[in-house]
Amino acid sequence: MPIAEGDRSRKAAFAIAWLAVALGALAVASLGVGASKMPLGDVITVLLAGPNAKHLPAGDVLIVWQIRMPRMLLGALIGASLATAGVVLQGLFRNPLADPGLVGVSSGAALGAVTMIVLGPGLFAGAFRLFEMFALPVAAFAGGLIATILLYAIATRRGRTSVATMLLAGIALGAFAAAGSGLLIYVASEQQLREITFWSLGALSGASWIKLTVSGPIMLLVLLAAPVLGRGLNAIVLGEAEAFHLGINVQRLKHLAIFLVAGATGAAVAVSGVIGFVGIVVPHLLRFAIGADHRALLPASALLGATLLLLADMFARTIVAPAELPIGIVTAAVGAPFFLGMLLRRRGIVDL
Amino acid sequence: MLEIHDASVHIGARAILKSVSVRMPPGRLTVVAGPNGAGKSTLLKVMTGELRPHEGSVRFDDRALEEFQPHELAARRAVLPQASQLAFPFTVLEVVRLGLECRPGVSKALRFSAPSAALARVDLAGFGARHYQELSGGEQQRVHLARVLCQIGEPVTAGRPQYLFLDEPTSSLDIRHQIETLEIARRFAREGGGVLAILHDLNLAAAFADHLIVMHEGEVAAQGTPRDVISDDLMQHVFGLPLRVGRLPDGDLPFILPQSLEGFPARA
Ligand SMILES: Nc1ncnc2c1ncn2[C@@H]1O[C@H](COP(=O)(O)OP(=O)(O)OP(=O)(O)O)[C@@H](O)[C@H]1O
Ligand SMILES: [Mg+2]
Repeated sequence: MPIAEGDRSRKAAFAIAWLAVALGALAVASLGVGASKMPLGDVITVLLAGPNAKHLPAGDVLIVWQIRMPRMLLGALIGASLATAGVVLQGLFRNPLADPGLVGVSSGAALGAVTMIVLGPGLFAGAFRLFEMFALPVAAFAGGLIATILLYAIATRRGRTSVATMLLAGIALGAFAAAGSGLLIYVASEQQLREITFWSLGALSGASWIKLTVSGPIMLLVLLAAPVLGRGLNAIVLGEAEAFHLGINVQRLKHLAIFLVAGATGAAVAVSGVIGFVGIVVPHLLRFAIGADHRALLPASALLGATLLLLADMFARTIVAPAELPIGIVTAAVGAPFFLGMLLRRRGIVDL
Repeated sequence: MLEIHDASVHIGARAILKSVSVRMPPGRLTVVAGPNGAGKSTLLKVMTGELRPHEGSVRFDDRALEEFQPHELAARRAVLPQASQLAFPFTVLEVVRLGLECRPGVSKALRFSAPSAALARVDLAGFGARHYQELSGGEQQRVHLARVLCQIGEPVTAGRPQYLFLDEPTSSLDIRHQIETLEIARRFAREGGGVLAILHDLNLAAAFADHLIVMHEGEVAAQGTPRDVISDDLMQHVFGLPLRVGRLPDGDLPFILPQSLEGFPARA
């Protein structure tokens, strides 16, 4: 079948295949990177031998399977989730400057998480301690959901969204959530304080198989569900009324989109604190490369988001070794100037 | 057949549509005209299901319009809005293909051929790979017309007439493309589909409309054939213009030559 001129779907399919290969390679390579370096060959040997290998150095098996593997998987899932949340939010708001970190969704999720850290122990005593672990991502999800709904209600009128209102409302929501978190930190105990600080640095260093089992399925679910939105997000780019004329159930689309954004952001924030700019940089780069069709943009962004976060984490682990940098600092250092550049180029559109 | 009966819409205390009853049978090009703010776009929104009237009913093939699912409606009618925005860098082809996306059972071959065919119909053959944002205003308007044509397919599909709603489809177009656009609309009606187009240009309306509805302050001020509807009286009462309506020698077709109001007696 020939390709019609202007059809970029085949190009996008190639890009997605390449991104998948790159992510796979980087994922394996990242297992060898860290305070103790391991040659790629050894990494592969350890991987092939499985987590219970007895004939290999126990230290290597432990590092690869118990420390770096869950961290790599979490990093990839978080990167993919944040990038996906970015694409969905941008589609929903019909502008490329929306990012869960910038418009207050992450702050809302963070407030939810902090609330749970501080008030949770009182709620889950004794046998219910097990639920406490699951309560953190749920609370972060709830916080993110409330923030997204508020943002949508404030920034959208008659099916049209104002970019300026959205960004400003995001600032206000973020500040409000930060104030709430601050208040809770004020009443937190010494032990909770340490927990909050550790968590809020946006670090992957606490990654474990347990955290992965708690938050991983939520992120995986969002990633698998997101492509369902592709067609609807394409249509809603023309406006909500146009999407309706094109046959989209707009209300349902919006609800699902908001739910997925909150789910992805909440789960990611629950594990690693606020990691900004992934959601804005990744889709923006990809729109240049493969176009704006959401059916391609969603999977491609998930793959590139995972790749970039793994890269950032490898950088964060090695640049100040044996210590490590919170990954949020790395993404902000790269992402903020990038965002500024976008803003400057689109100044006309953001003008009130 | 699409008909609205006694439909009223208010926003706050203000009535925007006041008990409007309009029929849109297939096989007819219906044109809606009237001053800015008369309620034309509101009427179109009511007819397409975008807006539910506060009173009155809208029936589509003898079923209440609100009973239709969005995708059922999209399979039967397409809508060209008065203004469209596009926030992301789509190519022209991708925009046109949005019209196909919600049509179930579109074959691969049709997915390939329909967008280019629609682009050719609006005189944009070869524009597929261009970026939408880089087109002129009139070209963008024609891209959306192509998208709408792509969505709706043939005027009669599976034995049932299809409907087109066009809100000022010619507002940014040069005179040739205005005529070509209305030619497309009229052919669609001749072949058994239903078309409703909002137009400001009464000369175009006179030349193309089978049925003309003139709206004024939320009400239907007059309707019928353009010959009957366009009169000196209408110009005065609806538009407040003391202009004379001319008649073309062949077939009595009305026309209005816009001219300066200087020298006309001041309005009462
Ligand atoms: N959502 C709204 N809120 C408030 N007023 C509205 C709204 N929509 C329409 N109106 C008002 O209703 C009236 C009719 O609007 P409508 O868009 O139907 O006019 P129109 O006949 O299409 O005008 P035009 O020729 O300028 O397109 C206008 O006075 C407009 O200000
Ligand atoms: Mg209008």
